[in-house]
Amino acid sequence: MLCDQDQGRVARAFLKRFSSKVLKARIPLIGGIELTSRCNLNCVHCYVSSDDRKNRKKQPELSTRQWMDLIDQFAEAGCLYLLFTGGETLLRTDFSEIYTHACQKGILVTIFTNGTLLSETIIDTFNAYPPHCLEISLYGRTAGTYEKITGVPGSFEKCMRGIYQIKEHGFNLKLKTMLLTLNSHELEDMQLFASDMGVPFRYDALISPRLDGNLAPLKYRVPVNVVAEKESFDRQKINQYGVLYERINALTMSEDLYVCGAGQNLFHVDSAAILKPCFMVPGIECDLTKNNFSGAWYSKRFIDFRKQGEAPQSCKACDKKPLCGYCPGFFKLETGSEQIPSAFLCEIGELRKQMVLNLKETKSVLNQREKINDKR
Amino acid sequence: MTVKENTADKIWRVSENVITRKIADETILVPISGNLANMQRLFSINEVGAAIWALMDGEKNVRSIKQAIIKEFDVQEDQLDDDIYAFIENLRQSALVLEVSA
Repeated sequence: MLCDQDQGRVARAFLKRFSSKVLKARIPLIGGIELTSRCNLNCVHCYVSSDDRKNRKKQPELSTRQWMDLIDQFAEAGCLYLLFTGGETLLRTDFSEIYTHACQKGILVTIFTNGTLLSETIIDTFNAYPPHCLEISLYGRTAGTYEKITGVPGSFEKCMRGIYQIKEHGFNLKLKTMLLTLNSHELEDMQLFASDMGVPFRYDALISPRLDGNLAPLKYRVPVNVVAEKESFDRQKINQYGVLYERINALTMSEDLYVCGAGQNLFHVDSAAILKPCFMVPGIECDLTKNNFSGAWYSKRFIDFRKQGEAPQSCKACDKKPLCGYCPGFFKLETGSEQIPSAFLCEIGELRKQMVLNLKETKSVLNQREKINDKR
Repeated sequence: MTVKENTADKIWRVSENVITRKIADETILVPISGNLANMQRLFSINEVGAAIWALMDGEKNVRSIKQAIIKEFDVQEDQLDDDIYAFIENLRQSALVLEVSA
């Protein structure tokens, strides 16, 4: 009668049945909301559009009541997981009210934050309603590196204080970074810090242009050979790529343009209440200040989003697709067309594939390196 | 003391730390406060379980809940007897229900 989703065969049977029903009925199970596009930091690689960044303080935002009404509509439509992102979500003075409202609707909330603005009020709120997950971005292991990226003196110390506070209270904390030319030399130190804290850590090297097409962040991309070298020393990533490559290539590869969950079970709502299949997907939008969420989600336009065409010719049967970060939205931002793949992603995909094909050799090198580190 | 050691006269209520969600015709219990470890967990209950859960209102005792279930579902009383106590015991161990003092 009762099934704990963390445990066993019955849980797996439930998840299989549940996933199948959710997919078939196109239930918007997972959403992201950008509570604000404002931020107290000014990161060099941020994807928020240049105009938005300049005019952040002037932009109108939804009221507390408007966000609560939207959250009611998401819950009604079947949303179970909701990401609070920004900008910096904790800049909203009504963060606690909106967050508590989502929790009380039985939604599992994950928060993306830079961790620099945690207050007693926020901690009290988390004590009352612990977040499903808190992900803090750590842009370096030293103030010099971190603040070269964020552009704000003193922000490193505040971020570190935030990390310790969250850890001390026992909330489910994860750390992450965007791998940039400015911080790649401190990746190992960040990994070590997270490991010493007993906190999961991940990094992402796939820097995209800004959402308005501004290519400025691309100059901070780490060269693909350096990314591959870093990844070859990361057991978790190697194993993950190996599994993905084997499993997905064993299936019949979808030739659809979009193969992720965007518009299928995933949605995004930006700070102006514009509903999109994903924050990175251009063109398909609906203003939720004027339209009901379910009405928009089940409208022909949003349903047809998944039927809009095929993948670029060179990607269709490409066996690197499970590894490269394939994303037509990313392509459009970088090349101007969803049909023209990003050469950067293609190169990364190729190097990851080589890593997987030489898995035995990659792991043997990694074992040797780990032994040397242990001796030290 | 386990539920089995208790009598059918016991009364239970759903914890205020849990929200009941109905998604894709499945009943899902979402812990929202209380034990930190529970925040990463979800619980699903089947149709009969969901009916029992809805009847655990802090007023009806286990005996009357059992009678209501027998009326609503095609279940054998002996089997239900075992299942209902196991179900409540699981709920109690996961802090999803609380016993109401008489």
